[in-house]
Amino acid sequence: MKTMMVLSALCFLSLSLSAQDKVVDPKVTASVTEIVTHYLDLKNALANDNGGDAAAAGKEVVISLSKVDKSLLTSTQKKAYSDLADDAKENAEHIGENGGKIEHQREHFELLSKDVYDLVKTFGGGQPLYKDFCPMYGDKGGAWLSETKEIKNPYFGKKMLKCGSVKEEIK
Amino acid sequence: MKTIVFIVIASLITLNGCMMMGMGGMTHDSHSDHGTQQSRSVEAQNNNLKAVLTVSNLTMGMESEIFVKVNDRNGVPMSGVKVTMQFDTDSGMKDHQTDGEGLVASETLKKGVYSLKRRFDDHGGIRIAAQVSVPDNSESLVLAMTSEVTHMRESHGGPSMPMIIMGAAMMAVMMVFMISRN
Repeated sequence: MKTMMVLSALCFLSLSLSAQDKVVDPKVTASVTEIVTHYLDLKNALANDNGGDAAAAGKEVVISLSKVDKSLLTSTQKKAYSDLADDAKENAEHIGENGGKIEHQREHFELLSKDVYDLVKTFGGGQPLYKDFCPMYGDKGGAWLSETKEIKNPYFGKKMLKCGSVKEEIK
Repeated sequence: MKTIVFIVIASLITLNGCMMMGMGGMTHDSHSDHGTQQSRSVEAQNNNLKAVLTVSNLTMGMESEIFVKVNDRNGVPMSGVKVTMQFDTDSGMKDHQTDGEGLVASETLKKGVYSLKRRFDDHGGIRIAAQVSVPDNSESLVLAMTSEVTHMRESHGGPSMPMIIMGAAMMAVMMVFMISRN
């Protein structure tokens, strides 16, 4: 009986902690929304084959990543955010520093897209988003997030602007 | 009598004009929004080759581009591969332009990505088959998919239904005015 009670208490504690991690402070969601906005600017710049604008948006992504107030995160959320943000920052910095090398920017954009997708799934994106996928990019294809259902491929730009399909709708 | 003949002719012209405008409007509205359409892909692989055939919207009367990506088994893009494409209609009719070996796609876009531009003049289903062959070796791979050639959504600035109704109403008012004068 005693063991049963301890197990029940542990289960309850574990469930309540897990539920707590799912609650995200609105200020954090607002900060992540800002990151997403700059990411979408970057995506649109690459779709327009504009490496200069992509670099500018990449720099904005770096700035917005540092604006998230980590004191508002639970310890689990803090760890998840730090892992994602470190990786995202590195990729966004590469994009920001390579305005004249759009193919290099696209390589880092693929990695950045994975990070931003995880950020949105964990902390919310503040708007409906679509996860698109182009099977023609790289070895295994490339994914990205978009604010519209319309396909505008950031990996090939005008050469293959309509290549891709929506794989997931994130609300 | 003169008035009646005039009214009949005017009515016929008005009706004819309305019908033509209405038909034009129906043609424009009967097609889907191409903006949200997505590409479709098929993948195939054997021991040494992996290929993806991708087809975006095929629009009647417009040039469309069809893509084939070819990688080796390690995922490295393969250059110098021969990619040919054949197009057959839904009814099984062979496309006369691609009889024989088919049209050769070129590697202009990116290493390992082969493309072919083609204009489709008829709407309906079309079967696209791409054959990937590696020179100096007997390796080959065939990918196929069926796609739809659709009408383009056009906007010729034609009149809308409210404008048609307004035109007809104005014509009717004019006729009533003329009859009342006689």
